[in-house]
Amino acid sequence: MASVSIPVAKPGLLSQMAGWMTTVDHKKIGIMYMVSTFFFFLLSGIFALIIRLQLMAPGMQIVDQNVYNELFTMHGTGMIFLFIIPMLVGMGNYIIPLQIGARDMAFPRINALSFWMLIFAGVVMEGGFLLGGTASGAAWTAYVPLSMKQFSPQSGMDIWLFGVVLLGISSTLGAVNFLVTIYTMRAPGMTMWRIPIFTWTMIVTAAMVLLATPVLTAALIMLITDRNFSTQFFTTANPRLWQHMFWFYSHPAVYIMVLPAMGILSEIIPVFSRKPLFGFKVMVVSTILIGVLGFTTWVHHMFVSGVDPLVERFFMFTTMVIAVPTGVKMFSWIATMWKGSVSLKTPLLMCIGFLSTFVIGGITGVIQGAIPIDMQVHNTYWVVAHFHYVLFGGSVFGIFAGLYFYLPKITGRMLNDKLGKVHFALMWIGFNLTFFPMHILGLEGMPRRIATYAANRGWDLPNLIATIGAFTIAVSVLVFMINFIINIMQKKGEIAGNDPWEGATLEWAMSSPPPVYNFARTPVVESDRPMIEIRAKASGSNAPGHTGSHN
Amino acid sequence: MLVPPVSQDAQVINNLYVVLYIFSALVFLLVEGLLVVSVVKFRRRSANDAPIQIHGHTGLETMWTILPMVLVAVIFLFSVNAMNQLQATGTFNDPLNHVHGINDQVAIKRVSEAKKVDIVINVTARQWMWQYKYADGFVVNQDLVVPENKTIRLDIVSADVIHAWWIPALGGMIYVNPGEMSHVWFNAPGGTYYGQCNVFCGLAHSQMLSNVKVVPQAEYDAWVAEQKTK
Ligand SMILES: [Cu+2]
Ligand SMILES: [Cu+2]
Repeated sequence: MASVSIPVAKPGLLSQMAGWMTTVDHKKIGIMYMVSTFFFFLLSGIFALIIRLQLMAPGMQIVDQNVYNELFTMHGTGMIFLFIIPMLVGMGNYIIPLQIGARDMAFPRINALSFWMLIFAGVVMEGGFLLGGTASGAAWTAYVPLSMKQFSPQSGMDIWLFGVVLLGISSTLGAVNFLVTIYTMRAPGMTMWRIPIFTWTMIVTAAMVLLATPVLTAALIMLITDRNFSTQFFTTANPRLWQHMFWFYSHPAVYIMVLPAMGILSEIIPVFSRKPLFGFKVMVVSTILIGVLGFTTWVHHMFVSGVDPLVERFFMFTTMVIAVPTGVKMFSWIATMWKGSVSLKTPLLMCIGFLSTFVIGGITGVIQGAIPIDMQVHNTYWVVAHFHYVLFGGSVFGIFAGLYFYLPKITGRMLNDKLGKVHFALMWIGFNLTFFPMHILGLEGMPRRIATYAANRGWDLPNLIATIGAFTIAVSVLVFMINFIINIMQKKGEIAGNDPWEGATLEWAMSSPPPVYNFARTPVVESDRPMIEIRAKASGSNAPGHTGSHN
Repeated sequence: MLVPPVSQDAQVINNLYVVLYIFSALVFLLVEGLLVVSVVKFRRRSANDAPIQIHGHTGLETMWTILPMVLVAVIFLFSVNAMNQLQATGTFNDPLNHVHGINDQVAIKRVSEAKKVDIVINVTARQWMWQYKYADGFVVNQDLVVPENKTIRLDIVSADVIHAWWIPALGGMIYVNPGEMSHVWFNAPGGTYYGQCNVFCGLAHSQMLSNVKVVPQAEYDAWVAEQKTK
């Protein structure tokens, strides 16, 4: 049954490292994505803790304001560009070829290139700290003219822009790779409606990346040349040109970060409820609709920046409409659990974490989509609360759900479920303690991105609670790391076996970890949940790679 | 809103917020309630549980597509209605004149004719302060001082990067873009209203305060006289 070739002698550390660095295997690249982005998660998380310490009480001076400005800029860009997006890409990298019965990605070398560009870009972006003044004075939005040389002269700003350009190219390459892989390399029998839901969400995500990211990349390059080579793209233009180009990417980016996490949920919830996904086709269609509508709402970030109010009404409408397909998904997930047999293991709890918090982010999104409300909450802590409910409540809970679900497949060992539950409980409580009070702060008039505040504004208590919450989240992440170190790195965890969760898709038919070549023989797919038949019919042989030969 | 609204604009926004809050609370309770029930009532009781395999239900799916659409349409109409009210009473007075090119004489003329105002103050936003130039020619760099219950119009320009004018209790946030002029109207009872720049504008963004002191007419006149002698 073990189909991995056994090396004659254990290779030395150097040759092992060389092996990882030169690999074009989608699984190894996927693992490298996940490991390295997790380090960027920790780094950006430490920035967040320093931010929260500074804001714990009025008038604090843990760091001075230029460092503070660098920290929130790098917290945001780090979490978005170096953690959430590439972490989900990494999971897709590992899982999707397995789900569709392929041996690798369509372009394995481009896959490796995308990964190494990400690492290089990450080092470049964070390297700004060494040059003094990362992206200080610009925030992640890098609004023109604040980001021009006149107001942000530091070279850290240029290399930050350069890093984001590299990331853009890396993820555009990755998107092409995903689309071609899924289009051309599916196992025979995997028709449109048999493509697993996680793969579906990656199709839509990759299409969005392909349409949105080049616009940001172009804008960044224009900004770099404006700063350094005296071009006049933004200096002579309408002051909103940069904002349009930036948000044309950055609003869809929200769905680029959330859709794959929704895909993970749509895989996990049916498995842990022992029921098929409720309304599979509706789920697919709503994913596509979110992808399309996601491109029609970007001006809601500019409701108070002087856009014609008639145009604004259109974008107010689209912003509210996008809540409909999202709502359809919420109800479908709940209906999947309804009358099921819901197993409360950690992966499902993380999904519950997603559902219970993301709904708040969805609701506040509609509320602030109303222009009069936006005139009162734009750029306040209300907005900070809103997008953390979407990106942490949504994406990050989804990512952890995926990690607890797939790590047994990837490593062959189970994580401890009790520690997982402790992780979940602490993270859920810490998350709500941190971000719920921020709604109140926003309604009390606290702007975002301020390095400190006066004591007379009534902002003290919610800020203190938020800081306590942030450290609770930090402890929960430590629990996860301990769980990982003991059970996976030190191999103390239970052996996972091929199919620890009664999975539905092809990856659960193979050994854990899967063999290098994935499938010895290309499987043939006969339904949207191939494992159900395989489990029913596999009495004797359960060798990996033989999944298609049954029936 | 947790900052008590004092201007008409802020009141309109607050009313809309209350309506949307009620809708939100209902949706929130519905979703979280269903979630709790599905986890508690349908949790796995035995390893051999074999629930019925339901793949979907067209009626339900149609229902939870149509109902959110109706809800969203209702919310949209409430919001448009609030915008029309704002347009009639204050900040949205004339949408096309809200923000315009700094030398757009046609727009400037339209703004001056759009609404009867008692006092116009020229405001300049710069890193990291607000400067107020009064009709009498003096300039103050501290708090904005205006008389109570008078309609005030601010003509705001930026000397450098983008800033935003916003006094939470008075409502009506607006960006101040370099090369453009932004307008804010308000009419407030006496009091001190806190505010600060609301677009990140560089190093000392957090210190760019814009507090507004609204005082009785007599006090205002005395203050103006004092400023003129300075
Ligand atoms: Cu957006
Ligand atoms: Cu500012």
